Amino acid sequence: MFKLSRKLIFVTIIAVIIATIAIDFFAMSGKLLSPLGYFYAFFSVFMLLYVVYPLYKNRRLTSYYWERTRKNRLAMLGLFFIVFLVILAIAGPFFTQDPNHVNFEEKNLPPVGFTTSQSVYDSQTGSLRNAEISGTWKHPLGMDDKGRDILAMLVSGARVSLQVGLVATFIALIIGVIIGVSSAYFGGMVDNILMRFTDIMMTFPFFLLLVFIVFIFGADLTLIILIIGMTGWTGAARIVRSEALSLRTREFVLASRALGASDARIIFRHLIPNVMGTLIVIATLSIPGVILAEAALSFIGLGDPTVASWGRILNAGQDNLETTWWVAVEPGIMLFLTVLSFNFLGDGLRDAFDPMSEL
Amino acid sequence: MNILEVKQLKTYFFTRRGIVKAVDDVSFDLQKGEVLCLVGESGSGKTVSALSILGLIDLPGRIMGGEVIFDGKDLRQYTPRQLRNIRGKRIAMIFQDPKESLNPVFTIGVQIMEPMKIHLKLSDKETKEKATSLLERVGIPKERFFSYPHELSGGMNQRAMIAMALACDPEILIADEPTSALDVTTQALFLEVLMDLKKERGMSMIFITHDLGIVAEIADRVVVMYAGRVMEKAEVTQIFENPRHPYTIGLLNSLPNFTKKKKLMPIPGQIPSLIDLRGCVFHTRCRFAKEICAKVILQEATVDEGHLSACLFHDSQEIVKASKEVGV
Amino acid sequence: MPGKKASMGEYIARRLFYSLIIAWGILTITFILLRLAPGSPADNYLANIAASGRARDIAQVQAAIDARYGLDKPLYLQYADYISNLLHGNLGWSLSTSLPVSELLSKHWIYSFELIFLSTVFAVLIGVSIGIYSAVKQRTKADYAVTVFSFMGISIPNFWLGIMLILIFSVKLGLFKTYYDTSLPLFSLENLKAMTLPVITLGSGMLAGYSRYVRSAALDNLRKDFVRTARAKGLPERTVILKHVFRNAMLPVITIIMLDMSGVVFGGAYLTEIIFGIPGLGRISFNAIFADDYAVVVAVTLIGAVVTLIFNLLADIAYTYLDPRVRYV
Repeated sequence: MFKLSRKLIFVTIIAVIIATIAIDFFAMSGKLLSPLGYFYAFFSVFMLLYVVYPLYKNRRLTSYYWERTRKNRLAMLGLFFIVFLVILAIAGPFFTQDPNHVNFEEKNLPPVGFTTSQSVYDSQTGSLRNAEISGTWKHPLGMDDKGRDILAMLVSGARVSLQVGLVATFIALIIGVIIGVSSAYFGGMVDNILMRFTDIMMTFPFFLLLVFIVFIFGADLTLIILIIGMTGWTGAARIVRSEALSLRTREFVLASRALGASDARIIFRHLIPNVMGTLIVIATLSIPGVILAEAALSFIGLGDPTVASWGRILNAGQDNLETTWWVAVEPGIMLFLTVLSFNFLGDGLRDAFDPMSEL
Repeated sequence: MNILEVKQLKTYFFTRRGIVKAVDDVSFDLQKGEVLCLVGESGSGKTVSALSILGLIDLPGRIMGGEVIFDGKDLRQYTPRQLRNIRGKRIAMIFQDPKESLNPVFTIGVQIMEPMKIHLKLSDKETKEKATSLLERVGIPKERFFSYPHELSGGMNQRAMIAMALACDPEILIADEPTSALDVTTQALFLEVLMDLKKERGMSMIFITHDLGIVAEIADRVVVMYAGRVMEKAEVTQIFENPRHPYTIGLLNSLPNFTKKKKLMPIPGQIPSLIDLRGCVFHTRCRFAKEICAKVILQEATVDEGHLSACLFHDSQEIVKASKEVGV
Repeated sequence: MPGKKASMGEYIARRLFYSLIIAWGILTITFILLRLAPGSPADNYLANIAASGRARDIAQVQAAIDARYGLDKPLYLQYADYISNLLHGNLGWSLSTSLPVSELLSKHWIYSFELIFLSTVFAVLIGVSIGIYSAVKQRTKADYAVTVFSFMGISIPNFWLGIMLILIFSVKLGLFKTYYDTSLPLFSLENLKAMTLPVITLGSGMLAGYSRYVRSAALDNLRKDFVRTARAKGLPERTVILKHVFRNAMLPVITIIMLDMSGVVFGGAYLTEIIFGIPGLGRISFNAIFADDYAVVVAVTLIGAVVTLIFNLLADIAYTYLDPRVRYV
């Protein structure tokens, strides 16, 4: 019963989202939500219906994998930091000041606990003088050379990184699954063409391709997410294809085919659920690469100039290493910890789903 | 004359679930020139016993006690370096799956020459000559010297393993189920080559197998093992004609017999978990088991001269009767 | 064996053929992307000229540029020109440096090569050793330390690591305050000194990855039966590990190292060159981006893809040579 209604719910919601986009676009010329906003709407609906709900429905299996993952202390550490980061990204902006707020009075303020000696403009004498400046709790992580609060920028950067990481990976996985499953399932010519195409996409060095596409299409966060998603699916497609190929010959698939199940039914009822574990692992392990790619793009100045990405802060910081070293250090630490956490978690998940594989 | 004596050998594996006593208090000896067969189901500790002789036990396994007397000295007191000088040179070993046991990236020629290069001081030319003649001796054409293991059949690989084991003219050869990965016709050829070589060189041999047919064919004496312990030890004729342990009797009854059309009688149940065993290890599957069997461990009782059984009731009428009914 | 060689030649021929198809695909996709781009490649350049007031007649310049790039021709002719130009080694004209792109590339590729070569040597030497070491010492403190460090090495953003190295060694400690001098020979002491931090920056991530691959491949092989055979022969543990296990463990690792080139190494080298001002292809492309110099960016992307293609081909061939079991299908 619910199977049908779940599909119905999904289709309805998607229809509503598309209708909203249409109204928004034609009648109100894009005022309701940004393109990214629609993306999240779609993303959350999909995750809820096709990831969270099945995990809940198969509680026993979920808790089995959870128990296995929980034994891995590093994975738990990673998960802990990711949860912290998500909370920070969602709730943080309400508590920090505007990351774009410029305050020249307090520019180059070091983090709490550090003191630097700088030449400061003295408004009374009207001349420059050397002064010892210490960090204050008002700006615990200090200020950059334009007097922006770094904590606020990092919090807003967390949001950017997570958006990019989650959404781009999600897009890449969807494309990867579609290509991988069709390749395995239809075989023959289709397989040949799709796999050659995958080979071609794989041959482009990922980052150079990103630079190239962002360079010609322009740097906009939504566009960057789309581009990363549309170029980063190759690994997933290959893995899904080989998993699906081995599943195709397994008894339960043969049995249901013998019972007259349609291709679509076999794909959605048997293949997809069975590659789900692999997909979760691929997703977790792709996210850090995606986050790093966006940060690197921003770092070399190809990022969206309107958002405070960690890469962009880092870029600004590297020019003033002699004076305001913390501007370069702090976003890097966040980036490092985020990537490390996803790697730890992904590794733990892989061990939990597939204890045999070591790589 | 005993060339090798294993006394109260204990090899335990320390796993997360507990201590697995893979070999517990196992003793046997090997006389010069004889073939001693270690017999038992898989998991009975035959292989671990053999590996323990050469100190080839890997973590989480450890040899916890016992002596391995070779040439009057206890191998367990040897330093790793001293032990290496025994391995491959004076005691050699061949293994179950020849394809897996040979390194896939080296030619068999290289692998046969390897023990000679470490143990013998021969020139390169002599080494190569000896390796080639060994190859031919085991019935592999000498062009195969440059072949990789995957290019040879299972039987050829196993014969290459023999050539490798015999490279340094060892006094003892330990063969760990060398035939179980081969098909029946290849087995026969392999055994023929092996036994010829054994006679030719006057080697002593420990042969591990679960195939009683092979035991009947090649063994001088037999050690029957079960769940890490020795159940019965005797001359091969005694084992087949006068078995005095319910496990041996069970093994023989589970063999098909072509002369007397008798129903096969498999041993019910499975080998127990080797963690936390009490009493006689076989009592859970023994059809003669009494209450006391779950409590008492009998070390070894003499049935006859050179015939030992670990059964408390080896002299009971029931077992003597069952022993008579085993028709071989 | 003669039979084997013939089929090996056939195998390589087939791989070459596939590579050609992929190369064609790369060129085509690049072309499509370029044509999908909003506006003409020369737009920004023209805007700059217009702003500077140098050109009298923008339309004239526009037409001249369009003609030079063949943008006035129909699409299929543009495509044919594009392919034939590339096949003739004509990569276009760099607007910002007023040089043919091929000349620019042939002058600068060597610095990228030097960086990648030194980093690979550094990463392979150390990564393979600690990978083997940690596999042999599995489940000891040393093994855990290696595992944690390789996780950190994989996770540390290499552009940030580069900046941190500059901050610590150049800014704070005043060491390595050298810059790459193109007038000196490639492997001169000065330039090797200038390469130290870049090599560490690029190499550490590679090293961490390799050590993980090697560790897991070595662990796989340590469990194999042939290791027991080798020990039973009386081989010293050193020989067992460094000969029997090592040879087998390196088979997959060599392939992975080659395949890693495009994903990890090229992107990393691009960023490393930018941070340390090494005048390689990454730096050239970076400069070109901000000068709106299309031809250079396109060329560097293509070069990256073609080099990757060659590495993939080499990885395949290397594998068939190293692993005697490979059948050429």
